[in-house]
Amino acid sequence: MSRFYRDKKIIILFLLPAVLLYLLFEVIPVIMSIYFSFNEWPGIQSVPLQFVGLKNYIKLFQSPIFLKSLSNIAIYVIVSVLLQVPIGFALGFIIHSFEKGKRFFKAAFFIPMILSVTAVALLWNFIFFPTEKGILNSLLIRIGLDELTNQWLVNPKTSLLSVISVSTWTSVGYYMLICLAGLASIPESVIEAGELDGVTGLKKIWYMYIPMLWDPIKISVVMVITGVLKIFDTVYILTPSGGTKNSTIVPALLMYNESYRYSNYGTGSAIATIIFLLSVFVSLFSLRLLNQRKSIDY
Amino acid sequence: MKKNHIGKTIGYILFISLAIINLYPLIFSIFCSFKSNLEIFKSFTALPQQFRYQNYITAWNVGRIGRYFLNTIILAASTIIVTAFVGALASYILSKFTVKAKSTIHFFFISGLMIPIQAVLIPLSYIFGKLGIMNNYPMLVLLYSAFCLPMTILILTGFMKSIPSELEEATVMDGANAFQVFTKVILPLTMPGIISVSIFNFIQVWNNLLFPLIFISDKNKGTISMGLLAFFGEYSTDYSASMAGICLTTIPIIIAYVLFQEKIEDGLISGAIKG
Repeated sequence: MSRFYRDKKIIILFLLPAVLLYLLFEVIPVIMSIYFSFNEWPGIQSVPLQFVGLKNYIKLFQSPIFLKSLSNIAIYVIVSVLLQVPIGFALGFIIHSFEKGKRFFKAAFFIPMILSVTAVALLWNFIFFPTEKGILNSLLIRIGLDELTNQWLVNPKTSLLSVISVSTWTSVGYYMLICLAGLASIPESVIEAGELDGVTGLKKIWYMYIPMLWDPIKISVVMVITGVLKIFDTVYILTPSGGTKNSTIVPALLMYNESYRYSNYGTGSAIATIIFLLSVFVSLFSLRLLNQRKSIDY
Repeated sequence: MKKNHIGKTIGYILFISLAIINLYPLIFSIFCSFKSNLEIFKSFTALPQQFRYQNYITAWNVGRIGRYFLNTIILAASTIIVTAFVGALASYILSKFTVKAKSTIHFFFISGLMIPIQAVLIPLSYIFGKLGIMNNYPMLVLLYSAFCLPMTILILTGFMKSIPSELEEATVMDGANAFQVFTKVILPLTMPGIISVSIFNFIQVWNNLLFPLIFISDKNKGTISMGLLAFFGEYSTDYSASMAGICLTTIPIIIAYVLFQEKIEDGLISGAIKG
């Protein structure tokens, strides 16, 4: 049998398709993208690449739009972590405590996640519609808060938060499920023992559940961060050009606009490379964080 | 005790309201899909005065939602088949065989999870442009598969490690070669894992907007995401038909989800739990 498991021909033959796919469509393009970022290219096949060294990067870090996209993505990450994980886990806790209707509640909060992002963003356009016809505005008028009505996606003060709330709506269901899966894996005897000791209510959540759910919480935080870093669709559909005064510009959208709208493929590649490095850095950093402390054993 | 009971009922009612509010954007789209444009502009939130199913006919014929839906299904289905097959082959080696530098190869694949799709767009446009292969489905399927591979290998290797080797041994004793062991023993036993990860992959392709946006220019080959988007641009005054379009694309997905709720939920979080 050990000879069977050592057959070099089989090993190579079985690994080859995956290695080829992965090399051709991921690894080589990523390396090319890094190379492209040191060049200028207008996107026309007959025009050759022109080497410009670090020019694209220098230009980027002097460009207010790019710096704005970095600060926006930082806000996007922080707000998303603070909203999506706590809301998702709170929903999970509430649903876990119910005896009936779990399936319905799970579905109600999870369905936004499986819808096409395009459909979601188009629907939210109506909610944030800038006139008094808009769903959110008309609701505010109806309950007498006229002064709060706003051009949600147009006003640079509210546009980023509006876009973030759409991605929160689609994502909380996911973290709710992760919380529920974590809760299901805690043996009941542990909870009963705690209850016998008189731990109840919020204390029970804070001192018993949170430490035992530490791993799912960390995984969720990492997933929110890595997911947000590459966010494109929602922002692109809600605010195609990146909002008034670039209020919603994010690196991925800027990269798309630079390359496919303005044909600055070199600059676009530099942004792509920065997104890639950021993603690798955050992933490796969070991987270390994840391995550092495990959930409390029971 | 009684007080507790009342509290619980109130809790239920509050939470049910919250759930319904959460689904409001969908309810809204269903209402609007039956309204005329005039009705929509009078008030977004009012109920439709009559059921105008004409909007659906417009969405289907003029907006060609059916076409886009079919295109996306073809792309997604091909991708999950290719990914499952290629991924399972590699996972079988990585989980059972004795290979030098196995953990390095494993890490090599898993690190693909860190690659955002933006990082490959420009070089791929460059290459695809050079080779003149825009609007090419097989190429797009391979591209999607490459991006689905890391998660697939992560989940399937974990799954295959837990399969006991006795069955394989018995099959080898009967004179089967590695490929037969793979198709007759490993694939059937790994099916639950393959289904989970395929659901995950399906959603990735279904939701993707960037790849088709850049690599498909032929309208006949567009996907749902592009279709809905184009629909809003071209017929921007026809909100009712576009709402019908949204409903046509979301309702089948919701029905599929309600039918296979547990399976889909497991599939989507399996990555997070394993990772």
